[in-house]
Amino acid sequence: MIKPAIKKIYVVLAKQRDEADLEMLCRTLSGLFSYVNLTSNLYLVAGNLTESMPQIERIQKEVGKFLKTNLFARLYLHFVHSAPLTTVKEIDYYFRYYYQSLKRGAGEFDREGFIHQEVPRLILLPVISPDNRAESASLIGLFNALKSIFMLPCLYLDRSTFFLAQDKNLLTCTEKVYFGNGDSREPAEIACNLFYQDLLDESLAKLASKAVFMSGPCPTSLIVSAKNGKIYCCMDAFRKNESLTDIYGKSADELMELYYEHNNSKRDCLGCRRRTAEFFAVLSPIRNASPVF
Amino acid sequence: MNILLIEINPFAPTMTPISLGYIAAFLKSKGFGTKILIVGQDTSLSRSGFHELITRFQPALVGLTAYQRTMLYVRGFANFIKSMDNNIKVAIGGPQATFMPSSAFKELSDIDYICRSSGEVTLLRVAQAIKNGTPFSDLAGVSYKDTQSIVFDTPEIEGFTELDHYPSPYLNDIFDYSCMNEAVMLTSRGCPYHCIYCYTPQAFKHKITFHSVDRVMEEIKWVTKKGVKRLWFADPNISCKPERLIEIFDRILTHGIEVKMWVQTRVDLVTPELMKKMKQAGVGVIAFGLESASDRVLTKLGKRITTEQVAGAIRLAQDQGIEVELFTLFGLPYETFEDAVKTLEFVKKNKVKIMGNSNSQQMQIYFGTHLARHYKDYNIRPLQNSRPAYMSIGSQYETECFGINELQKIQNMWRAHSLDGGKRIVS
Repeated sequence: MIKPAIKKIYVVLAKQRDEADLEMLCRTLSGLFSYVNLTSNLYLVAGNLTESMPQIERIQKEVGKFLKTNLFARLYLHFVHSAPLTTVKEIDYYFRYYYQSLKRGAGEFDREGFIHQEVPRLILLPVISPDNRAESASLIGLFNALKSIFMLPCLYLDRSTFFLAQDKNLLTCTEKVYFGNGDSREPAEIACNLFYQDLLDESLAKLASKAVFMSGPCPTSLIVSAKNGKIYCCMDAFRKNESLTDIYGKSADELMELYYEHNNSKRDCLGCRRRTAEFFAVLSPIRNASPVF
Repeated sequence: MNILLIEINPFAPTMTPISLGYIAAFLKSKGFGTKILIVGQDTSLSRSGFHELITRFQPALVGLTAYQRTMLYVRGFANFIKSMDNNIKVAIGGPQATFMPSSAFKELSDIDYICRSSGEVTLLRVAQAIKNGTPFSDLAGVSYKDTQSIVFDTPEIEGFTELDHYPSPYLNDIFDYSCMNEAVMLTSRGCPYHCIYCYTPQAFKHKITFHSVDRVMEEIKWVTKKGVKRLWFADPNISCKPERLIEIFDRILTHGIEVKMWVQTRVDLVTPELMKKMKQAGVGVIAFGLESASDRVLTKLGKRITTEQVAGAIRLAQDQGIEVELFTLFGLPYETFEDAVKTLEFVKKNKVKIMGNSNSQQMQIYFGTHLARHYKDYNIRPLQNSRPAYMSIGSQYETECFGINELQKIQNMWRAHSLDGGKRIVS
């Protein structure tokens, strides 16, 4: 029996990191890529893009290296960040200096995809948590620009920005909308909410296929906190601060040995699914208002 | 000696790999150890997991099914296998390989064999050669690259004309039934028709071969006993011999087998009697190839059907309560934009749900097709002339009437009418 592959890695980025810590983080992630599913998702959850850009660029480079040497692998890279996109100037700045820069790093995969008549193996998905002063029209302009360079824009909406979910035109050009039920902009909180939404989607898919094993573990994932280097085997462990290990002492192979020994099915998976249902039950009037999903 | 067979489609949910199943059952009957790995959208497999699989199973030969859209992944797996053990031989087969030019070896440095003829008999010869320690001797049905990187093309090899000579993958328990919701059945192979865009008639030399009704029934009884409730018939034209199909359905009814079935056939191969029998036996969905709602375009395609016949066949099925799927294409030779819109209107008018297989797609120009050889005669202009030799023109072309913008426009129109986002399952 082959061990299950990791389907999602959530990296909660910290405001400031020294070069050695970033190097260690990248080394760990690079090792972990050998254990991720052949089609997998990497979420980089930042506070704001300006501060986290060097980390995101560095990690994207590691992803590129892995994909270049492993032609059978595909990766969706989601970079989650808040953005004060209220003026045309700000939007233009973000587009030119951040998104286009990240896109350039993925250019060779676009060319490879074109030659092979298939979607690129590296897909960039910016997940934007807009400022509560943001206007739909500004976001629509940005999202259309992102789509024109084959980046798939997503939204993260919290209590202060739920009103944006009422705009059908905005939702039409949004790949996916994530919801948070508070108004915290803390990356750790946002990572939890992204996870809950993914778990909700997975639970709904199970219900749709009439699968009865709802108590089963969630899709295999890892959460890495760049703040202290700790690694968690699932979001329940992250919430309870029960780390598996950290990025400093162990190689990725040793880490994964621990992961498989630990076996996340021993955790309270049903409890996590219950919390997910409760979390979204509160939001259901808002979700019902949105045609996307 | 062990042989690993790999089916890759990271863009779709996993389906029973029926062709690899046949090859595995055949090789197993000749004393080889076989394993099938399916790499689908929902497969859980990492680089490390694949490494572990190769280390444990120790295959001497790995066979990969090659499609146009999976060539990159085929190359990736081949490269990884060779990096683990350069002595493992790697073969590719399937639709993309059959007519792939041998010059492709230059860009497929990790591939040793390109299989051209019937999979079972071709791969057996390769396996026997490897087992005998002479991997490039006494081969047929393949092109190969020897240790000096010199490329050789060997003579064709005929498969069995009586399909029952191939052991059944189902009756030999090649597949894991615990996670099988739907069994893919293959009761016949090949197609005698002449559609210019299609690979199948060329690959099977316009011939069609059959399993006996007894063998088909044995398989159906076996898979339903194992708990499978849905059968998906991959035969290109299931009703090519209508009396044979009626006998299969009669026997399903006689044995009281309760199963839901999906079938595909041509509109000129159905009758009211057959449709009634289909419904009684459990056919829930029937798929027809329409391709275009322009009779002028249909004639150019060599399809030899009319839109009137298509409408008639749809009515026959719908009158019986059988859901209809229609395969359609756009970007066809001599097709105007108005013709393409007419196809969309035809599907809507005939109350066929635009979803799943009824989502339209751009025509693909595959190796081996009449169109691939004669595209210039149809005023088709490839968009890039420097593609790798292992890639055919595929979807990268323009016609007289369809440029990139028109292709995009008609695709968007179909998507706008689609009930499920526009993703077609069968290509």
